[in-house]
Amino acid sequence: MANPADDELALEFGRVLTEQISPDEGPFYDELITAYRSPIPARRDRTLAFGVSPDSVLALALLEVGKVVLQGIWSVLQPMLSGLVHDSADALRAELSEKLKDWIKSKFKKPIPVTIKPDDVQNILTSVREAAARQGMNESQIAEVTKTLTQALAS
Amino acid sequence: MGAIVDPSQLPSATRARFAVLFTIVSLLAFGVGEEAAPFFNRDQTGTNALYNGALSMLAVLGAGTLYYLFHSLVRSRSFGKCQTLERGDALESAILEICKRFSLNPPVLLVDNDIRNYDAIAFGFPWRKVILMGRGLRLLYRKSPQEFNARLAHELGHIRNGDIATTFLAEGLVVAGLTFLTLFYLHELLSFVATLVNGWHQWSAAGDSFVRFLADWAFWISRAVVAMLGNTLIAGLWALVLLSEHRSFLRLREFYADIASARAFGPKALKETLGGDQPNPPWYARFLAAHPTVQWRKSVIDRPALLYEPTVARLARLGYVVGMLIAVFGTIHDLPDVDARGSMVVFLKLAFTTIPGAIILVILMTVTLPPAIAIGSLVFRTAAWIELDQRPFTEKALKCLKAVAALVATIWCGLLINPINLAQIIRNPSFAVTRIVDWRADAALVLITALQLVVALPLGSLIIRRLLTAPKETPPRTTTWFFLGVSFYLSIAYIGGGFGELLDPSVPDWLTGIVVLLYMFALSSPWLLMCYLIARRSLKFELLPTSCLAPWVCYTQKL
Repeated sequence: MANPADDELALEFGRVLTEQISPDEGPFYDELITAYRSPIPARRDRTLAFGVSPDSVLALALLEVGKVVLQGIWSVLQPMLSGLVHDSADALRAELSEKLKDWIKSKFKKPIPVTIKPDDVQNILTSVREAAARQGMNESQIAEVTKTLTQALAS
Repeated sequence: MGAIVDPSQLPSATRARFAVLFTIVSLLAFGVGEEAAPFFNRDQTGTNALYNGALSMLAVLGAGTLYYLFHSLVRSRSFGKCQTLERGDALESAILEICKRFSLNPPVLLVDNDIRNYDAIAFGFPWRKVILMGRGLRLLYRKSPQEFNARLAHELGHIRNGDIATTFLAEGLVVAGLTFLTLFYLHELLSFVATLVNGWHQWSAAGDSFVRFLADWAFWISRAVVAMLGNTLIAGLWALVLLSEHRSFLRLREFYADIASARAFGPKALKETLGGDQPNPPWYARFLAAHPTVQWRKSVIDRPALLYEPTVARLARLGYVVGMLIAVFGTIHDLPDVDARGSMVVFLKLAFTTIPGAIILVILMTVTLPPAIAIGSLVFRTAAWIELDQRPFTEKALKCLKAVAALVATIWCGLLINPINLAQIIRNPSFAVTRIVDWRADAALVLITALQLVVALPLGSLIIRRLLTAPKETPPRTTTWFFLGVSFYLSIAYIGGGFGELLDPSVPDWLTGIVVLLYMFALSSPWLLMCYLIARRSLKFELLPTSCLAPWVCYTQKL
């Protein structure tokens, strides 16, 4: 996802998912993403420290999930965009981006601005489950993510 | 039903283990200072060697204390930039609640800026204790308040257990000791190189070839290289003994803090925040780690009696230090006019007629007290373990025997193979022959000590167990206390040789004899004091099989 606009969209998608699935991390979302994108300092065994740190921050995993969902949506839209001339495709893409942003910001309450066939929804959800498992999410978390996205994509 | 007692409320081994560490650092400074004396008198023989050792020891202990006085400055920057937690913050309220549970005055609370950091550390001084927290704890507080409480209770447990002063003072002593060792090693290395370069300069000025120089100096170089290798071995051995004890001491602190946390909020939250089991790190990483492995921590949370178990490793370390201590006493023979027979008396006479002699006496008394305290503490903890551990008695007895065997073996090992002896062998190779010839005397000494320990350790443990469980209606009689005190005092006095000196008709005056007795009394007094404190408790331990809070909590019954 090299396009800065897509990055921003994914960031927003991750934020909304985090607020819904792990609301405690919501207020720290930007801080967490910035922190985990910078190099992780070596863990030191300090005297009179607690000594063990949990690694499970859902926000990062949910950002990755957001990227996978957006990739899925764009790949569904790709045949439509490829039939247009370059300038028109860019304009349509920008317009769709704005609509998707609105949809994300509405916390998936507005209807999804594109029509996705049930098979495509299933394909996206399969990719999401795989990505979530790769990110270390447990079964119940994956189920919750899948449920949220099923409702969002079907709206 | 009386008050709730848990193992963390029993006397911990903190001070005893700190005392042993203090002894090791003191011995290191004394032994190395005696041989190297890079800062004081160059004369490395007789009384001068002892003065050098004593002065080196004072220098190292002073440097360690200085480190402690400044540790707070360094520790407060452990996580980078940090700020004081604002008054009224939700985290502050939660921590104050834990402080109330522990009956602690609230510490100064600092927090850093790294959201990834879920760790916290305790440091400071008795008058200003500090908890530095990672910003990640703010997130953890929202996500899982129970885990937050468990983590902070662990840190406050360090404060409640009195770990801050002992741990950072110990760290100061270890750093000072290792620095002194490095300086000694560098001094020896540079002296070797400087002598070689000077020799070559003089040689080349005379117009001779390098090959002839090497041929002429071959004997000196080979001896110097052997000495350097020997010094490397000595430095390595000191570092091994020091690090082994220090890291083990740090790991023990963590167990006690975990127990304090589990006691306050239950073992479940603590085990959850410790996370899942992790792969076992390699042995050297475990050896140097300041924290035990997660699996090990969890097993101690489930069975705190493990902390009191007289393990082979724990007793082996103590035994080696006791052996080294006996070897240091051997250096008293280096004093002029002191022969092997009358060494103690003549040494004490010197101690009371010269100021440096008095200083050395004080230092020797200082380093001999800690092992006495450690052995007393060991006896007490063994008694508590016999009472608390639910395994069959035969299994426990076998463990005790193994541990005592390890103690005896390592006393002998420490007596024969120690850095002080190695240094003497390097200085004077014939000393090795003397040691080999004297092996029977050493063996006899170790055998006597072993017999005393084999009898004294289990017997002492059983007596204390009896005292712990004795009903109040039949408390230990005065004669029991008298017998306990006198027997221990006599055994210490016997080991020290004080009575031997008193019975010797050549002893010139009674004043010295009385001083010997007072010295031996000082050695046994911590043990006597401990016996008194245990008796005053008059507790009956009852393991509660299940409890919603902690399955291992013990209840005392007012008897």
